Amino acid sequence: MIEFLNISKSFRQDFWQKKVKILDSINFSIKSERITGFLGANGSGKTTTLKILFDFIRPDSGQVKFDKSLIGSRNKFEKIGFFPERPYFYQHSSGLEFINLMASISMHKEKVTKEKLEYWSHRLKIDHAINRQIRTYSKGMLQRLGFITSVIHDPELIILDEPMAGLDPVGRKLFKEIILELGKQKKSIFFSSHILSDIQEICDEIVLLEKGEIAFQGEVEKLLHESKRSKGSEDRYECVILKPDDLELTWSPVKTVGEGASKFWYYEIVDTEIGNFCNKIIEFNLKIQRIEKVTPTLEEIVYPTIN
Amino acid sequence: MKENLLKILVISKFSVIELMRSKILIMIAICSLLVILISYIASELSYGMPNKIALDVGIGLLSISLLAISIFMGATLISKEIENRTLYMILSRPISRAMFLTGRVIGVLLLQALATIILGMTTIFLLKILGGKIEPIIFEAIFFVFLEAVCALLLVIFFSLITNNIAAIIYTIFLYGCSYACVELKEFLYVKNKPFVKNFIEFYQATLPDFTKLNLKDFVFYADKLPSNYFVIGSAYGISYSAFLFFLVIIIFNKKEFH
Repeated sequence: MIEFLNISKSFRQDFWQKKVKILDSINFSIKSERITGFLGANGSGKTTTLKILFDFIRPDSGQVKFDKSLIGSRNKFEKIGFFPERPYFYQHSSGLEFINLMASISMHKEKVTKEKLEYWSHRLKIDHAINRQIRTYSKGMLQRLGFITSVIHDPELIILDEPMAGLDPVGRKLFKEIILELGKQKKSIFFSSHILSDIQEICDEIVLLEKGEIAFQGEVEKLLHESKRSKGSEDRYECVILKPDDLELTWSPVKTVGEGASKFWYYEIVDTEIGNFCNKIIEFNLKIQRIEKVTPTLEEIVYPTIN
Repeated sequence: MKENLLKILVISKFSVIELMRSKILIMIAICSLLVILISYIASELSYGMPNKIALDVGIGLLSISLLAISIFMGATLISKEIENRTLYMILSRPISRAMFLTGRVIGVLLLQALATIILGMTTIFLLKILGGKIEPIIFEAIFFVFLEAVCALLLVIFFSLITNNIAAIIYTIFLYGCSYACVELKEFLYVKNKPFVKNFIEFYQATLPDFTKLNLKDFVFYADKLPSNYFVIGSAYGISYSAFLFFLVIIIFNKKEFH
């Protein structure tokens, strides 16, 4: 859909200071009909990348290539909806007026806008406040309003910069559900977030930006698999059994929890040993509390990569 | 083309609504009341020409109000959008920077036109009540005050795009003051005797905005006859200089990076 080709960007933070390289020849693409997470630590260049995409700033070198199917008859941003980080609105207007402004700029038909607005304001639970002046909105309501403005014109590609920042758990859950729903409707979604569990939960793909360079692009599963392979680590199982009286197993428990008759042993058993371990449990008729395969989380993989 | 015009109109309509809801209308209403109040006090204290005083106060306050709207609104018109990131939402839609800027400027101009009509009508109404004669030059002077405000608005937007808000306000007021100071300076014997200084002032007047060309207040107040073609030349100067500033502002805005 959109390709970033060799994009580099440097900023001079002060007139007398040397330029700092924010993006260093980055190459990646936003794929059609996929939910792509854009990951990176603070200052890694995520927002700069998005600003280049929308021509707010210009790259020192490289280009952003838009797919022909995405470019509308009037403008290349016609089929894109954008939700900037910490959106700010005209304080004296009502939510309804602002949404109408955004829909009018996109030349969206009034009737369709009205229908969409009804649906989205109800779905995001701000229908009760849509006629109120924006300056009376809470932070969560502003996020919801921002989200509506980014989808009101029914875009094919939705770009969200930290959409869930500042939302309460209910709001986060709602946003995640909506993003997944839009994904099912074959919309392409590209969103940046610091919350790795969110990305793991809802994204098909991730783009990992590290100090201005692309560290990874691909499916989340692929990253988890590659990481495991590069570390040479085996699958592990977490096993919890009720501590037997006067019995020692070959394996040492990681920890012991509980007291008296309810004392539990916690084990971490590697893939090659799990068969023997289970046999011993059956042999000694031990009581199993839980046996679970330990899957590495995105956090466990990405944080060491970023650090 | 039609779509582009519609987009500009949408932005300007929204700008007018937004500006109307800020405190600007209250300021215009206060100015109107001031015109009435000061004119009344002055007419009570003066002897023989209360209508002249009403006219002078009215046009003077109109000029100050419009300049204040231009300078203080113009300084934040675009820079506030960049600071608050509202610009990011709008420019990520199918609208060009030039269209957005045009819409915003038209919005402020419409508001200034409204202020001109309200304050101008108040002045003319008072003049009529106090027995003054309504000459065509009064309307010409009011039009020139509007043109002066347009010029100041574009000048302050220009500065706000290359510096910060405070500097933009200071530079605009400085240039406004300089244009009047130049006229006075040219009368100094020292300047008359120094061709270099005189040429410098003339060069300054030819290149930088000369607000004195848009000032008819003396002609109105002293009932001087306006030189022939003065109105046409002054209008042409105001409109062409504003157009030049507008294109300059668009070029800078198109090239500007929004960090």
